[in-house]
Amino acid sequence: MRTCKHILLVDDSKLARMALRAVLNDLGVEADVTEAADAEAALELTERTGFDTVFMDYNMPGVDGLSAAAVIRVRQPEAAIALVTANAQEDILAEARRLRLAFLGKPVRREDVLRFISGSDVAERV
Amino acid sequence: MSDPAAGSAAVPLVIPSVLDELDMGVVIVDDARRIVVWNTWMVRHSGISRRTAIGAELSALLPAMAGGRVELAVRDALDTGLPAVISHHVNHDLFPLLRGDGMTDERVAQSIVVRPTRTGRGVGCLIQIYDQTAAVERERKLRAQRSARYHAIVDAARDCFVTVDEDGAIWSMNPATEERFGCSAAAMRGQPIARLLPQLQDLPLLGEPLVPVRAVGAGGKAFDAEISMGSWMNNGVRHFTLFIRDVTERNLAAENLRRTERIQALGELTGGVAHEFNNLLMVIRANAEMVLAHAGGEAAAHAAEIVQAVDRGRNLTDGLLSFARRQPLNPVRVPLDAAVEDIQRLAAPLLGVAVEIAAPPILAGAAVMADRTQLQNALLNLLINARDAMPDGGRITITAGPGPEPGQCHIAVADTGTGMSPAILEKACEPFFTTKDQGKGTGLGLSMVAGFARQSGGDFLLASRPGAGTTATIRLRGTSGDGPPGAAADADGAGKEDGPPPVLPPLRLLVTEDDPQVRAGVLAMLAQGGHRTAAAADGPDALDLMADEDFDLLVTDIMLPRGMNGVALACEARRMFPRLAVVLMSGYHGFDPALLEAVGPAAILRKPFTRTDLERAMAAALRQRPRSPA
Amino acid sequence: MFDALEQDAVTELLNVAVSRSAAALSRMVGKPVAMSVPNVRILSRAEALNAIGGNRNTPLIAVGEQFSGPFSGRALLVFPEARSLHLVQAIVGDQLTLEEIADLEEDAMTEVGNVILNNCLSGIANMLGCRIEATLPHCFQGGVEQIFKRTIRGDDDGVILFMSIDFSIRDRDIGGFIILLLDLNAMSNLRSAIARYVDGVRRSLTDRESP
Ligand SMILES: Nc1ncnc2c1ncn2[C@@H]1O[C@H](COP(=O)(O)OP(=O)(O)OP(=O)(O)O)[C@@H](O)[C@H]1O
Ligand SMILES: [Mg+2]
Repeated sequence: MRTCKHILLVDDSKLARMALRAVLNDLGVEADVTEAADAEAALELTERTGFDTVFMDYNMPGVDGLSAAAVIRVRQPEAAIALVTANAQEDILAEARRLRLAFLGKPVRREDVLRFISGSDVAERV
Repeated sequence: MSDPAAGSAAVPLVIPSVLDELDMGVVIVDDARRIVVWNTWMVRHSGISRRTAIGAELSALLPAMAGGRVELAVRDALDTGLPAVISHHVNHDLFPLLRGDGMTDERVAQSIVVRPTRTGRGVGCLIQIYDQTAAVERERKLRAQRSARYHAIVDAARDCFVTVDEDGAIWSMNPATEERFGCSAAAMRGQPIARLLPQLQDLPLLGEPLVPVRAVGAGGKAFDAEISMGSWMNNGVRHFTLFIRDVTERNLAAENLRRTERIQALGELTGGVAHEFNNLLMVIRANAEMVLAHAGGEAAAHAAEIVQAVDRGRNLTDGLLSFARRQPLNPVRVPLDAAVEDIQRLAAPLLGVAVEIAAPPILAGAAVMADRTQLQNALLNLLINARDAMPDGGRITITAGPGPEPGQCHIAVADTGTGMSPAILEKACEPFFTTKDQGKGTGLGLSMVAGFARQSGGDFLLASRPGAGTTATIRLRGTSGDGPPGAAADADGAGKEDGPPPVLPPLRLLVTEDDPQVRAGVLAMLAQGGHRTAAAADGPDALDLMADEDFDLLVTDIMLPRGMNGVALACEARRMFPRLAVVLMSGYHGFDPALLEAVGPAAILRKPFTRTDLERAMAAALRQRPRSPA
Repeated sequence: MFDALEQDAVTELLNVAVSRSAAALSRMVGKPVAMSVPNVRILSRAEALNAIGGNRNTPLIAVGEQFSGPFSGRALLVFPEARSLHLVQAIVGDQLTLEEIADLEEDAMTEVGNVILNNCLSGIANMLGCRIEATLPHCFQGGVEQIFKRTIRGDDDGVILFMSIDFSIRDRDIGGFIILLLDLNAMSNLRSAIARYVDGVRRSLTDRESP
């Protein structure tokens, strides 16, 4: 299992963030979790703070998750980033692979999150 | 929600036998996606036996369908209970089924309904497959019929047809459009019409019935286009079909026509003015000469000045007339050998050293009836065209002689130059058509040559092929070999010759001229010499006089009022006095030389003229008058 | 009607659903489908009529399904017809002429509508952990009033979940609307399902924090 101490949750839906938090709790993940309600906030946060794990919603008003993840990937090359979306289009998947992002389908499932934080899942379609 | 109890006997054995009667495909899969029903129709069209199918997983049995629409629909139906419709219009890879009717190997066009159902084991999924092949074929035929006529017109049209929707997005275009704009219909599909015609940015412009625009076509070449538009509804959506017509040529032709008409009007005007002017010059000149003859010293010197000014004035009116292509033609007998020799000498300095010029011997005595100066101009034009067509040098050959028709002679100028394409050849003789740079050619050369040939009762021919040079041929009426060259109607030329004025016997003269001042001037010129003169203002008056008296010579203006011109008068007078000598005075005329010929031998005298000119013309007229009474 | 968190839940629910639709559409078209975040509102029938807006006579094409399960109602996908032709063209490709496309428009739209609506419905079903069954889709054409008259009747005392969706395929904007009409019973079922879901999430968070 990889280090999973500083987690960033990015989603415009509060409920989605809560649900993800619930799953992480359920999995017994001990970490400090920061939330951001849009991509701009996430970009601001990652400027100052380092995260080892990022959950990034794709479809958000304003900057989309994929563009934000691309920036974060440059700033924090070591971070494990997951793109979280139900929009499993081939070109989105391809871009995610290119950026070394994991892909988590929505609604998120416990097993998928487990696979992601345990580091066995990289950029594979779920 | 599934209810296993209710579904436990859902697929009894009897049902498949009914299913086997159906004229459609029926497949049922269970919740593990295994096939539990595969009806006879499926066996027939898939070539997969029921034994192979039953129990197999759909995507394992038909790997081509894995991950496809049907599989996903089956998943949805099983997982969530939602049905799906799947159309052959939208999907290409549905069940791999063949018609299998022994006739064709066609694939079955299918529409499919996938819906949840219950099987003995609980939730299942029913797949119904409808054969749409016949419907597709019928649709296709209908469509083909419907569009055949449309395409016959639109695809063959030379105008551009473009169909756009309400948003101005392009839906289709005909081949003419692709060619005109240098684009492909496939690439332009869905693009805004403004990509083709930026002026149509705002589609409301399309409300206009006819929109003229300047468009940019293939290769960035601009052209004038006229756009008209039809709108039609298809399934409640408005579409517009734009007809884009290239009107560059039409505009050009209209512009040329306008120019030609302008020139023609100008010609009429200048012709008329020149005529009036020549009459005035005539009067001035006659009176100045009178002063010159009777006065001496200072007055004579002033009179000589006046005469000189009149001569300059005549040059001016000549220039105006030749611009208006209304120059009076003075057809004389022109021997071909002399004409060709003259033109070679005249043109040599213009042709340059790179151009070689040759003329095979010309049959002696061959001669045409034509205006000598105009013939020279025409040949000069042809030689310059030939030179221009041979920028790197070449050879010009002038051939001349009798034929091809009896009574005809030809003069041909052949070059070894670039030649002309059929399109250029077709237009070469049109006024203002030129391929030469601005300022280099007016495009009037050949049109003047052709005009001259026609005005002289002949014609003009151009033969050319690209790379094979050009041959330009003027054909004119020939004239019989006898009679000394230029003698037939040499009055004008003779007037300019030096030498003593001819001595005329006292004659009975009739002068017909409507302008009283000109008439007075002419009568004054004739006052010496012991002639008996009478004068008339128009044709009928003159004929009245002739009814009472005999005359030796008629001096008449060509332009006369009261419906009888000088030519008609001369003809009429000759009927009364067959041996009457005739001098025709002209300010300008557009007379057909053939008409002049009807008069018979006559001297032509261009206004303004001197007394000497008049006396020479009278002498010539007397010389040529018919010998014996008819 | 909903509290803030429930409204968030509904939006997220439908956001996920429409995302799945975009993915499904992209698979059908074989091309990327760009999509804006849908805007979800709860409207009355009259408000929905106005929201579709435009000229009342603007020709529309709609695909409707009736669904049943723990909550029932009607689902309707509405496009202005001019857009729908773009959509159909994007799906069936460029080789066809306008007439051909117009001919198969209804077929193609029925299928597209079916895919989009099913993804919405199954998204809701998934999220709420229930099963929804639906009838086969129907295609309607006409002005907005006409379509409403046949699908969302005036005497329906339901609530409308109204979403404008904005797809674009190959730079062609294909804006339309998804309308979910839920009868009052369905609405309260949806509310309680959402409340349960929200509660579950809440609980598992507090569970974790309390011990
Ligand atoms: N001998 C020739 N060989 C090739 N092309 C010719 C020849 N004669 C004429 N043409 C073509 O026909 C056109 C028209 O000729 P035309 O003599 O009427 O006008 P131009 O020579 O262009 O101008 P202009 O004679 O008024 O100076 C020319 O521009 C040229 O393209
Ligand atoms: Mg010329």
